Amino acid sequence: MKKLVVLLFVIMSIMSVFGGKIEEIQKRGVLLVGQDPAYAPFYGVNTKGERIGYEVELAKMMAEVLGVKVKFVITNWDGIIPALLADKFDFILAGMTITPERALKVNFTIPYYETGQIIFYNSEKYPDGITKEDLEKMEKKAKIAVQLGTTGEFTAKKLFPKAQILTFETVDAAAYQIITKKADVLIFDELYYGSISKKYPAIKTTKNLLNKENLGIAIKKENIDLLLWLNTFIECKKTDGTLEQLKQKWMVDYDWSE
Amino acid sequence: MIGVNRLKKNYIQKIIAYIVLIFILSSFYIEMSKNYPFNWQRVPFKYMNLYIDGFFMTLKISLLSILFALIIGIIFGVMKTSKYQILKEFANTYTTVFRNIPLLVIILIIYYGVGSMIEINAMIGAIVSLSLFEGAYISEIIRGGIEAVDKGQIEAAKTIGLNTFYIYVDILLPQAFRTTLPALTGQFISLVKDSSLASVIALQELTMVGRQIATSSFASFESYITVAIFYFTITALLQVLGKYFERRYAIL
Repeated sequence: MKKLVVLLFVIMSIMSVFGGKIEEIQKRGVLLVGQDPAYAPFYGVNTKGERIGYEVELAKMMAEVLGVKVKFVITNWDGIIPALLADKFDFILAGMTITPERALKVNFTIPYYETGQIIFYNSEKYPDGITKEDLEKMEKKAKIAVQLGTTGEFTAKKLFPKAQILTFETVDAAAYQIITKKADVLIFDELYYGSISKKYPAIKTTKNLLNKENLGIAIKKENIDLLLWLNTFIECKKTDGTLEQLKQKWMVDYDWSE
Repeated sequence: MIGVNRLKKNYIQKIIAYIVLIFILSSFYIEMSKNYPFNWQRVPFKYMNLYIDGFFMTLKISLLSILFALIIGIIFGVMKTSKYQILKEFANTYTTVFRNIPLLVIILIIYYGVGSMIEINAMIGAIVSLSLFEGAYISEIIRGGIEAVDKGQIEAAKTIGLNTFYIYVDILLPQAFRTTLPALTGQFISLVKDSSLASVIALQELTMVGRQIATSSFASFESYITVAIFYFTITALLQVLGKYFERRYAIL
C-alpha cells in the first residue's frame, strides 16, 4: 500500500513536469501562438483586421482539437525566441526554419513545410539571369539584400562571405533594393516569389534552391508534452492530406490576396 | 494702401512657394512610380479601419506619455533648481542616464528586461519608456524656464512671507510654463514621432499597423505614406494647440 502511494506520487510529479502545458492551455481556454506582424502567405491580416494564412488556419485546427480559442501574440522577428522563453506565448508557429543553433534554445517539432532559400534578381538588370557562380565571381562587388535574422541572412553570409550584405528590417525593404537596382540580388525563402512577382513582374528567381530547409514549430524546452502532441498532430495532418490542401489554398495562385 | 500691397505680395510669394513644393513632390512621385507600381486601390481604403485603430492607439499612448512626461519633467525640473544638493544630484543623474541612452534601447530594456521580472504589457512598457525618456528632456526645459525668472521676484515673494511651495506654484512655474511653451510643444511633437519606436515591442500602434498591412497587402509604400499622413495629423494638431496657448498666455 505504501509502495503504491509512493508510486502514485512519483507518477503525479512526473505528470506535473511533463504533462503540464496542454492542461494549462485547456484550463486557460486560449492557445497563445507567437508570430511576427505579417509574413504572407503564412500569416497576415485581411481588410477586416482578422489574421489569415496557412499557419493561421493550422493554429485554428490545433485549437479546435484542444477545445480552446486561439490568440496570436505579435512580436518582432528578432525578439521572437526571447519572447517564447519569457512565456509570452505557448509556441512559435511562424515559418521558422529548423536550425541546430536555434534548437539549442528551443525544441522543434517535426517539419510541416519544406522550402529553401533562393536568389531573386531583377530581370531588367540581368536579362540572362544571375547564378550562384556569378555571384561568387563578383566577390566583393556583389551586393546582397537580406532580412535581419532570417535564414536568408545566414545563407548569404555562409555562401558569400566576401560579398556586401545589406540587412533590412523587413523583406519588403530588402526586395525594394533590387527593384531600384541598389542591390544585385535578394536571398530569401523561395515561396516569397508568389507574392513579389505579382507586384513586380520584373523580378525572377534562379532555378535551383541554395539550400533546403524545413519549417517547424518552436516550443520551450520543458514543454515535452506539447512537443509530443504537436508532432502527432503534424504527422496526422500530413497523412490525411490536410497540409497539402492548405498549401494549394495559400501558396499556389494567391487568389486570397485580391 | 501700403499695407494692402504688402499683403498681396505675401500671398503671391506664398502661392509661388506652394506651386514649387507641389512640383517637387509630384516629380518625386512620378520618378518613384517608374520603379514602383503604386496601387492606391488596395491601401489605404480597404484597410482604413485598421489604420484608424492604430491611429487611436498612437494618440492614446502619446497623450498619456505627454501627461506623465510633463509630471516627471516638472518634478525633476524643480528638483534641479532646489537648494538641496542631494535633490539636485538625483535629478541630474536621472537626466544624464535617460538623455544618453537611445529611446529604442530604453524600450527594449524596459519591455524585455524589467518585463521579465514583473509582467508588463506592451502598452505600459511603451508609456513608461516614453515618459521617462521625454521627461528627462522636459525637466531640462523646465529648469531653464525657472532659472530665467528674475531673481528679484523670489526675493520679493520671500519678503512678503511666501513659503517655498507657494513661490514655485504661484510665481516660478506659471512664468516658466509661459517662456518654455514653444520648447515644450516641440518636445511633445517629437514624443509623438518617437512613439513609432514602440512598434519594436509589437504594440499595435500606427507604425506597426502600417508594417503589418504593407506585408499583407504587398503595397508597402502606399501603407507607409498613409502612416505618415496620420502622424502628420497628430503633430499638426499639437502645433496648432501650442500656438494657441502661446498667444493666450503671451505678455501683451
